[in-house]
Amino acid sequence: MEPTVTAREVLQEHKSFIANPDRNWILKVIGLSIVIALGFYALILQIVDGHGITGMRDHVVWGVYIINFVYVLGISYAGALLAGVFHLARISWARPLQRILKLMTVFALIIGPIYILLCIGRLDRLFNLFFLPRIQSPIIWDLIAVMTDLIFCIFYIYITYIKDFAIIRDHAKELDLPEWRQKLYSFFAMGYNDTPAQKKNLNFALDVMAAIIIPTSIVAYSLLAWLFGMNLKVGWNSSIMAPYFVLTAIYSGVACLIFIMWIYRKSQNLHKTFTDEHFTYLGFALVVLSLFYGYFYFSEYLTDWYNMSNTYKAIWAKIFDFSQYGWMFAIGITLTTAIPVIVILFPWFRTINSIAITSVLVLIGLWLMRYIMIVPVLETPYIPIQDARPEYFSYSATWIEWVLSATGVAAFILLFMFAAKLAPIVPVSEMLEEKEEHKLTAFFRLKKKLTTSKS
Amino acid sequence: MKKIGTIQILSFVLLICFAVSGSAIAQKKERTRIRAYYEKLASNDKEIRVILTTGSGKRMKGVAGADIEIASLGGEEEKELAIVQTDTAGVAYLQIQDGYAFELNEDGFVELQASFAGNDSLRSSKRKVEFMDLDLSVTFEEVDSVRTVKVLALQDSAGVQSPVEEINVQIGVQRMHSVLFLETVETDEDGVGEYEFPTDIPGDDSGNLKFVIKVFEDDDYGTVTIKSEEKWGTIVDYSDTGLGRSLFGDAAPLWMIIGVFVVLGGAWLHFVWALIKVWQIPKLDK
Repeated sequence: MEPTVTAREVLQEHKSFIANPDRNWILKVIGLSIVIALGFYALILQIVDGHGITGMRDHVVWGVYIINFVYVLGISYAGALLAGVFHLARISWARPLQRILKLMTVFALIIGPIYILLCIGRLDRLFNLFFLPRIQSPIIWDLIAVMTDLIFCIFYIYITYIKDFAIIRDHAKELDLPEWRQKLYSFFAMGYNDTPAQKKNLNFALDVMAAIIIPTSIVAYSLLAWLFGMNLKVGWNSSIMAPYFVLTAIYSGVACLIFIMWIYRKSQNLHKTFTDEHFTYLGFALVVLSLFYGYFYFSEYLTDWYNMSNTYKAIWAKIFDFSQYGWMFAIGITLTTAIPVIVILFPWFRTINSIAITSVLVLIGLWLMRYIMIVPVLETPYIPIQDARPEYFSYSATWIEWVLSATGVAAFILLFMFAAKLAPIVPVSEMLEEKEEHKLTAFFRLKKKLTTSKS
Repeated sequence: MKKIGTIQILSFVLLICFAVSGSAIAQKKERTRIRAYYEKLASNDKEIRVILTTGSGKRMKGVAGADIEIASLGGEEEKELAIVQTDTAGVAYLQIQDGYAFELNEDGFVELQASFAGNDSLRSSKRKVEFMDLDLSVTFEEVDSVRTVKVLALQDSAGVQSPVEEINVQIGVQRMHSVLFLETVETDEDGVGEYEFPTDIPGDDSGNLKFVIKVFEDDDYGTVTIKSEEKWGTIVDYSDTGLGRSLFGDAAPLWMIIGVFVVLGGAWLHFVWALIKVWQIPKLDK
């Protein structure tokens, strides 16, 4: 590939990403590694002492782990969905966001399933899922979907890196990269030199992967929703679960994207890359999603409330009771439905920082709402719990669960840091191609008759 | 001479405080609480249930693995009956077979004592439980389609039986997971309590109902349970109420298998297609 001035300029602008690690970077890695090491310690305690060391018991068999699982997978699927849509629709302003979205997808998809493994008491029987699957079981559907999505996403993110690896390979000496890294880029660039034939093949593969990633992520997250929806438990057995999950995933994905963008804009001074427009567009997307979220939630509540059974009444009584889940619900619903509208929709409060803080609040709110969706339902079975100690039917997470939750967050940040060291967080090739004409390939080619000009 | 500063004095005081409090903590034994309950089971065996706990309120927890001595105090001398050990919840049981002759106290009551001797970290505790043997019996009478459950309560002290007046007897039927108590009746001067039984209680496929008659934690007689079966329930055919859910079968339905293969197969075929295109890239460097 011929070194171009533009490529050099873009690389120089983002040189700090791929430069050899400095002291600050190493300190951050050590800090995060300590959190992860603590997590390993907690994990060993949990394996040795059993699940009794967590807050999970006979009745409330799921807790913070499953909430994290649902939450993290939501972010993952949203990343894939948005990346696919932005790519196929050729939305030019979203080009700098592509890498963040794809990294978000893959890392969340790696971390998420670990939380479900933490819920399982007999990990030694896990292989049965692979060797003795029962296709009627939603758990098998979810397993197949998650594995499929993970393979597709890893491949998709890799092929989006190929052009960047080639560019870095060609400018490795200018960037003063060690030899082993030069060899690494050369190997992963697969001999890509931007020839027309190579470009055509790669763009075709990108279009195909973007197209299959969208339905795969929707189906995968719907399957996770059906794990709950097909359960006969009051509070979960609802047909709205799948669309509700997909909407919530996109909502949390957009909020997470804004937050990561903001972090990089602040820490790496990427004001030209992650512009005010990015924050404004995504901020308004957040408002629309918050309104939809409120609509879905109200719709579900109204439908349940109209002919409410006694078990439903008991669940809602717990959710509205300020000595139980009342505050959590009030905070959760305010953060997810009211705050984005108040802060972003009206121009008085709308700034880059306020949009970013709102996105963090939305992320917190969505986590709380998932807690509300899972724990009170498990605490309220059809048949009232009798002859059991209070801690058997009221859930409270222990430090083990909180430390392992924090470990997931630390691992997510650490993986992002390593990925940003591999190649800039902004896709260099995408920035170069920004003004190039993008022909529709693969699925979206028009028939020749329609494209032929009459002149 | 160098003056002793405030920090040195404070450090010394703190050191003394820690030393004193540490040794105090080391020597302090936790209080224990013992509770004992008597129950006459449906088999006529007698059961003594002892609960040993420490702490109070939300911090209350059972003491596991503690030896509880159960002794009879009815005679002139204390007589050890058994030593039982508490389980993980701090509960210990002693079951005494029907026919065992207890020594009675001067009021005609069986008087037992459950005691925990204490150990290095826990204080000792004991609790008495007194009871008189109560014989419950039930008869079922049907006159002009009116069904009546009649319970008779007789106390038994040293082989002498006499009716028990004004005792609450619960009448219930066994359901799948627990007992459904329908009514609590009070016995009259003859020790008899009556309850007009409803005609719409679902029984099994022959109409059988398992009755549970219970005196619950009475001050004098403890808990006494008897069970009996009678064809007073409505006949319910359970054969049609099985789990008829679509995916509970042995094999997945055809539409599902075809659907999974079409959707997954389609996605994977496209993936392979993209993989081949990427695989060709090194060869296209011309």
